[in-house]
Amino acid sequence: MIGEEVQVRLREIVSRYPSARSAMLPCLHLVQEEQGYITPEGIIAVAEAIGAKPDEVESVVTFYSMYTEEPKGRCVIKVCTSIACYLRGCDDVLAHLEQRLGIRKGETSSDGRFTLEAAECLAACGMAPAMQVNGRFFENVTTESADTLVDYLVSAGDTAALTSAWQPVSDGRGMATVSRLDAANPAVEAVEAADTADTTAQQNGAHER
Amino acid sequence: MGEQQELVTITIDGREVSVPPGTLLWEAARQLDIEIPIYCYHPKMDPLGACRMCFVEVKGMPKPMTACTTTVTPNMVVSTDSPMVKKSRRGTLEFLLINHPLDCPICDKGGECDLQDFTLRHGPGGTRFDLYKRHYVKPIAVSDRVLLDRERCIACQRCVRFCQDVAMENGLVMMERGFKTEVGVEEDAPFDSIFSGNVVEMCPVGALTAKSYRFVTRPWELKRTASVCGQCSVGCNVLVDVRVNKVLRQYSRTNDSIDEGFLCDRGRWNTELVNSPQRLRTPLIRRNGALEPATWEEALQLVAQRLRAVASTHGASAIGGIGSTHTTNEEAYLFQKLLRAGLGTNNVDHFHGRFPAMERNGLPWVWTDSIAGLEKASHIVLLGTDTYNRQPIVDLRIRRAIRKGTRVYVVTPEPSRLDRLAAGTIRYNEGQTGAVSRALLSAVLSEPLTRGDFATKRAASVAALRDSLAHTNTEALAAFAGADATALRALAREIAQADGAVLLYDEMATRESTGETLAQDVLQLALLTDNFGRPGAGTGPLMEDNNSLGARDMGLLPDQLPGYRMLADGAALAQAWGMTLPDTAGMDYDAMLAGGVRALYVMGADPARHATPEQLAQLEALDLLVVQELFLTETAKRATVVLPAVAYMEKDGTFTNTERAVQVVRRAMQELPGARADWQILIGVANALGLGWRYGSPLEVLAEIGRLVPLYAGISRRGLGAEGVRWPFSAGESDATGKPTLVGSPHLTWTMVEHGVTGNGDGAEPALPRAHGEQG
Amino acid sequence: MAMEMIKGLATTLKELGQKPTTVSYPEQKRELPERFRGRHVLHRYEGGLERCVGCYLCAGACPADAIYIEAEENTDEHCVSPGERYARVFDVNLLRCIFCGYCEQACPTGAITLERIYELSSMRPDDLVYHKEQLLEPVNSATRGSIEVWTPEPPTETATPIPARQGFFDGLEASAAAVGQGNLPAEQEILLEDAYDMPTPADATPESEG
Repeated sequence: MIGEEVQVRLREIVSRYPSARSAMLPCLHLVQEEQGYITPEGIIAVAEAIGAKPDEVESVVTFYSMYTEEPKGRCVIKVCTSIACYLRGCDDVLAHLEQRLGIRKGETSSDGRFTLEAAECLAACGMAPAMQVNGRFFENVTTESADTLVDYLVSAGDTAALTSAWQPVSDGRGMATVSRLDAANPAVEAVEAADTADTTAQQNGAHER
Repeated sequence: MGEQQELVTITIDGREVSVPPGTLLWEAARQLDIEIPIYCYHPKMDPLGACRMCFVEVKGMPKPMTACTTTVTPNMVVSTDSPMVKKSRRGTLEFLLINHPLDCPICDKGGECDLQDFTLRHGPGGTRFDLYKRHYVKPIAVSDRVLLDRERCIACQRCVRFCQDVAMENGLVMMERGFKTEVGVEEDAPFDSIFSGNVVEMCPVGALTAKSYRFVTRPWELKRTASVCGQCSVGCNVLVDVRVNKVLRQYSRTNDSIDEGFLCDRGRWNTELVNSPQRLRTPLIRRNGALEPATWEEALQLVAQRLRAVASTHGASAIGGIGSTHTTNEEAYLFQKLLRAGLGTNNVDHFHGRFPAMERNGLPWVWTDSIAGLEKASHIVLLGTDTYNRQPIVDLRIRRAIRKGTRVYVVTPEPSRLDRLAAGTIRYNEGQTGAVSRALLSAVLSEPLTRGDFATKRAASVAALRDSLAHTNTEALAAFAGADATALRALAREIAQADGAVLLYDEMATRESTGETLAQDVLQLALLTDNFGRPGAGTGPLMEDNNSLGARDMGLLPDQLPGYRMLADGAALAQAWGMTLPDTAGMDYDAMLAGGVRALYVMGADPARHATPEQLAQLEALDLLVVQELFLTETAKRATVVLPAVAYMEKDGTFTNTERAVQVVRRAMQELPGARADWQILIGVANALGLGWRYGSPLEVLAEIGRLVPLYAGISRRGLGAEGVRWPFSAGESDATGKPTLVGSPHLTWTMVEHGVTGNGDGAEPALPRAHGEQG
Repeated sequence: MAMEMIKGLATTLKELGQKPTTVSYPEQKRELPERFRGRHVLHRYEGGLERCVGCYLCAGACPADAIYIEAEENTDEHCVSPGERYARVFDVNLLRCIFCGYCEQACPTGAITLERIYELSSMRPDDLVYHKEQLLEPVNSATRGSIEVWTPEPPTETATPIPARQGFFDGLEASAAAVGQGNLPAEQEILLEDAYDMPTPADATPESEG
């Protein structure tokens, strides 16, 4: 259900934009945050808030891979399969993850922990192949580094651990890789602040509030 | 518009063309008859540039440009057949065909498919793609009438843009992105728009197809006849598509002043009228209380003999005729001629709205502006009229006006589909349109909000009118009608300050209990607020049926001759017909049904459908009831003689639509065996009566109309051309192409001056609802 | 003069020993050339489904206007041909037909061929309008008819037809496979809701079943 409090926040978001329709994306983020995924009521609530028809909102929801209309696992792994990542071997990574997690792409593991998805371009072609875990970028992924990441996710037990301890790290040339994951590494601490800002920009509004 | 614009001259393929600035290259090339293939572009929608099909080479540009999004600039040199252009077209087509299933043999679009045609003309011979094509489940129904085959879609977004920008209805949207992009509808929200058929027509491939047309034919098997749709009073131009004497669909035939190339679903797919197995195929005669089949000869002789019998025992005034709002102008003309000249009675009428009596040479009760003029209006007020269901293509034009910024007010008893887009809505109780209009007029007079020359020159008359309305103020009338008085007053103010307001009401709203003064009040409202006599300002009724206006024009009225001539002015007509005409007004529709006549001749009408039990008893008690009909209607079931007629697709003639455009209807198929066109039946009856009519075809009747009906003077089939002409056209004059020239709106205003407030407004107050519910 | 007469008689004498070209029909039947064009036959697939998809192309190609078709949609309960569409009515007016074979050329599925059937006579003209039931070959006796005879051998030096996969768009299997259901199970398997699950070409090859 879309509560009154959410409605108020929707209206507040709409009021920030000169044209109400411009508020569609942030409104959808809000609705998705509230319900975990975008429900038909969510679409209607957003449509009413911005004065559009529900089918237009639906169209936008399906366009962006950052919105989902189905309940997802707590940890959403998106592997980019667009051309640059394809050429750099995303298929191997994807196949490996499928095997490792025991689910096929588009599916959610039975314990509700992992959802594996193939995504269209994540705008990280420069460091292909790229993948995202709950909105956080990992680049230059290999099957090994993907394994390491899953190991970490399994051991961490919760995605909350990811957001606090797991930061993308830079190798000094603007490259963030998963292979260098060592939360205790002082280099990590050093670049963290700068990287967080970068990543947020990169995420193009992916849900991190 | 009127100002001379600087033209831009460009060169396309070595030929020069001058076009106004802002013209798209595609349009400029079209003027030179140079084809640039397009998928996503549609001349009635904003350019998008999605399909990359319309590449042309512009000198000085390193890469090919899309002709549908590039506007002309002075001295541009464009090539549409250079090697670069050919290569890019081939490339685009090869890409489009990668995922296209090539099931052309079973595709309903095959044969009229742009992808087929352009591939043949501009495409590559083969493909380098040797992997699997993308496949989806074959057609999914996006509505009751439209099927979507996603694998055929080339994502040009024409349909989507039509739904969003033209129809502005819930409908098709693009879903997903990239490789997975597809057209779709929102879950649980079927595409239930009355305009849905247009996306089927504008889809350049077979992705959207019609359920009713599914697999019934291929385009090359169709016999396509340019005609006019007869499903409502808009009169959209169509191609009637017939295969083996069966109408399969109507296809749009663009007429920019009426339909802009769009049709409603009713016009497009409702073929039941002509294809129905229930059609009458033989004349029926009542013998021993039951209708039995008879020959045409028997039936016509019986009609003539019984008509003569009634005339000799009860006199000619005991015979009456009820004409049709569906038949052609020619048939309506012949019908009243049969009654007036043949049988000697003015008892002729049809089912129509209630309009006050007309002045001599006054303006008839018509829509004074045009459909195209709606786009110029700053305000449109719809009084008791549901255009979405009754005149869908007018509704579509209103939507276009809304997009251009026109403020639309929907003043109706029931919610309508336009509400969501309207600037305001006012609801009232069923049947109170007259009271609401009077409330608006009253508000304009009392504030006062009158303006313009018309009102100032007639200050005394206006004052008199104001006094006479003093007892029925806006608040009292609004309370009586169940409407919001404040909203009505606000609307009156908007109308009075509008740059140009169009006030439209439904013809049938004038038949409501308070409707008697509706037409007159709305006209006065328009005149006193200076919303009249120019494009984008005006008023009038939206007619009920395809030829409702034509029936009036042709004199299916007890008190007026064809062309709204007064009975007293009938000398010329009488002389031409070689008869003396009855000079007293005849009985009207209700009087005839109330038992005023002993014999009733009904052509293409069904009075029993909305008759009271007493009227039904009267119908059954008649000495003679002749009915010309397609089906065994309630009236036909009570008839003495039933004569099977044919639908508009099976005969020639002309229709006059609600904005006065006279257009040619052409025979698209053979008549149903056993049935005859109404004009043939009327001639048969006339000749059985010994009148010796010698019309060989509707053309000869039209020629007679052109000679004898002042309003239609000079009309000719050739002059009407492909798109028809709106009256008034000047008498006898024609331009170089033989098309009668139009007299512009000043003429209309002039006739209006003769007619308006001075005529009707100062007279005795017509019956009106007094405050608190007393009916006057 | 005499010389000419002798020449003529010599020709007569020469022919005397030859076998006559006339045959005693109907006891004897003439041997027909391989490409003889007689009455139409409508063919089936091995599984019994009709090849004809009711596309009207033969009727469109017919210069004599001899073919009349009414198409209808296949349903799950009543599936007549592969794909969505089949011909409910298929009439050939053999009195109009000029046996030109254009219909055969136009057919995208190889459904109609002109066979070596020439005994076409009747006392009533109506009988020579052949309906679908008369034209169809019986179930379980599917043939390709004369189409093989007519299909030209491609010149050896030409490039591989495009697309490279044989039998897909070559006019024999072509559109029936592209139309895609019916007795072409492999094609049906790749009819998917989600295009992402599309198998690679190695996973299935329709021709192997068709």
